[in-house]
Amino acid sequence: MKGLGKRASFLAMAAVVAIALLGSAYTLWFEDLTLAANVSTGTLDAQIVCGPPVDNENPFWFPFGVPYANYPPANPLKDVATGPTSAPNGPHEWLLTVGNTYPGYMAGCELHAYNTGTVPWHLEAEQIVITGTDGTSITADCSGSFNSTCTAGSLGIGTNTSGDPVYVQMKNYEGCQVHAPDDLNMSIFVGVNQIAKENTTYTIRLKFRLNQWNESEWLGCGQKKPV
Amino acid sequence: MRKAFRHTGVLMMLSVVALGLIGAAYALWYEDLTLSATVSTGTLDADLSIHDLDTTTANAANNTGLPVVGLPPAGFQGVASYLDGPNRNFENGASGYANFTNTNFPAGKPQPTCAGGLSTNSSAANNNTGSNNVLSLAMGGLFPYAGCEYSIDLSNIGSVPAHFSVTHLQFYTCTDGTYATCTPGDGANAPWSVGLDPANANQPACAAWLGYTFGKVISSSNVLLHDFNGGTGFNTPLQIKLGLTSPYQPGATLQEPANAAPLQLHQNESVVCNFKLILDQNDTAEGKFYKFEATYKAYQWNETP
Repeated sequence: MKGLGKRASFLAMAAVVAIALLGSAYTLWFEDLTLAANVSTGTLDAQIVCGPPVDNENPFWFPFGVPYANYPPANPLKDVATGPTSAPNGPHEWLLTVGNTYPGYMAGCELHAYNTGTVPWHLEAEQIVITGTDGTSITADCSGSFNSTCTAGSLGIGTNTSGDPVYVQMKNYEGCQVHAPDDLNMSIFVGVNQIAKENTTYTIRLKFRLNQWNESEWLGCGQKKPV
Repeated sequence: MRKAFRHTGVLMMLSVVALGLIGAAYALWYEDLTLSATVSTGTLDADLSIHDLDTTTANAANNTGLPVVGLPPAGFQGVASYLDGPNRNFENGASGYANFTNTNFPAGKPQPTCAGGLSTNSSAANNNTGSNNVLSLAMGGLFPYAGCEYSIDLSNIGSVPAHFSVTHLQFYTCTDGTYATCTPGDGANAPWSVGLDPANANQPACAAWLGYTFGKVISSSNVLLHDFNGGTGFNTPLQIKLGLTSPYQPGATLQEPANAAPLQLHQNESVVCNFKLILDQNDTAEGKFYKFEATYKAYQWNETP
């Protein structure tokens, strides 16, 4: 019995070694290769800020040239309008709010459009849209030459029977390009005319579309890509 | 008696001599034979590598790709690969691949970053060397119609011819730039197009390799090799849903076209591929982080599954 036990042990060990050898022999040769890639995309973003607003109720206001001279300060000077206040309404909208205005009132601010993304953009599709609770609806596309005046409504206080209730003016900056973190700035002018109705809200929207530089129709300020 | 014993002594001595002679006779006539053998085994070793494309001073680091950008005509809509084709030409009229160049970046324009690097994975059994087996590409700040051009290769630096198979493909969307928190996604939603350089010396092999890696590869002649990116492609509805299944269900072979022989590289053979990965016009792709991984296995030629 003792002799058989030794033999059995030997055979078992031999079997284990044989199986191990078989196992390695059946494992294929191989190489594992990995290709990994991380991709991050940039951002196209902007923020509008309208600088400290001014109006012609300010005693230091000096109405020089058009359109300021067309809306001179009242004499004697009044201070009855509320505001103007200037505040953001989300990242892509800025509100300039004035109340209790009257014919001859004007307000303005300096608009800055900052590139807060990573991709340079061109300013496109500049537009002024005026709507009023009295049904006023005026739209002006700013498609003139670079730095020309873009207006909506009729200039000057006018009369009770002609013109538009509001006059808006800004510069035509279509095509201008802004890299991050630079900005583009222009003056905004809003005047209230004689024909404006009492107790009415007029909403003025200045619209801009920003397009990434390589997809823009523009090469630069006022320079359209050749077709 | 004494005489008798003297004879016995002689006989004893004769017996001893006789026995010695007999022994000598038994030792004669023999041959020694030896069979000896030495066995050396071959090597199965495959490597990935990357060639430095950007040699400008600003991006002089090794193993970098080249930022490229396209200038689509005004109002152009569609994925970047659609810029290739008779009715989809860029404004300069060149073919699709050539439309995405580094020289399209005007001076001062920020460019995407196109980094790359090789590393070694943990070696496994059976002399899986692991050396230079991991190629990592890092593309940053891409925007529509901008991306990176890379030149990479797959080489057999062993002695045994190798067949290659795709064993895992996965596309991810990640929450931030660390790429640590990522969710597996459908590769068909990857917002980019990949084009192969028409000048690649072994275009079918590149299509086999990178087509299964990135999906949606368009050749220079508008032939759709793989339509992957969710678009309708040109003519063929062939789809590779990268990341939908892993490993890729059609089988563990890296082959182009389907049912052809798998990609094979002999000793010291390489397949060098230049390609461009371009972000498509996709309004959901802004400020996002994506990751994709492709793993391949190199088998010796006669043991390919």
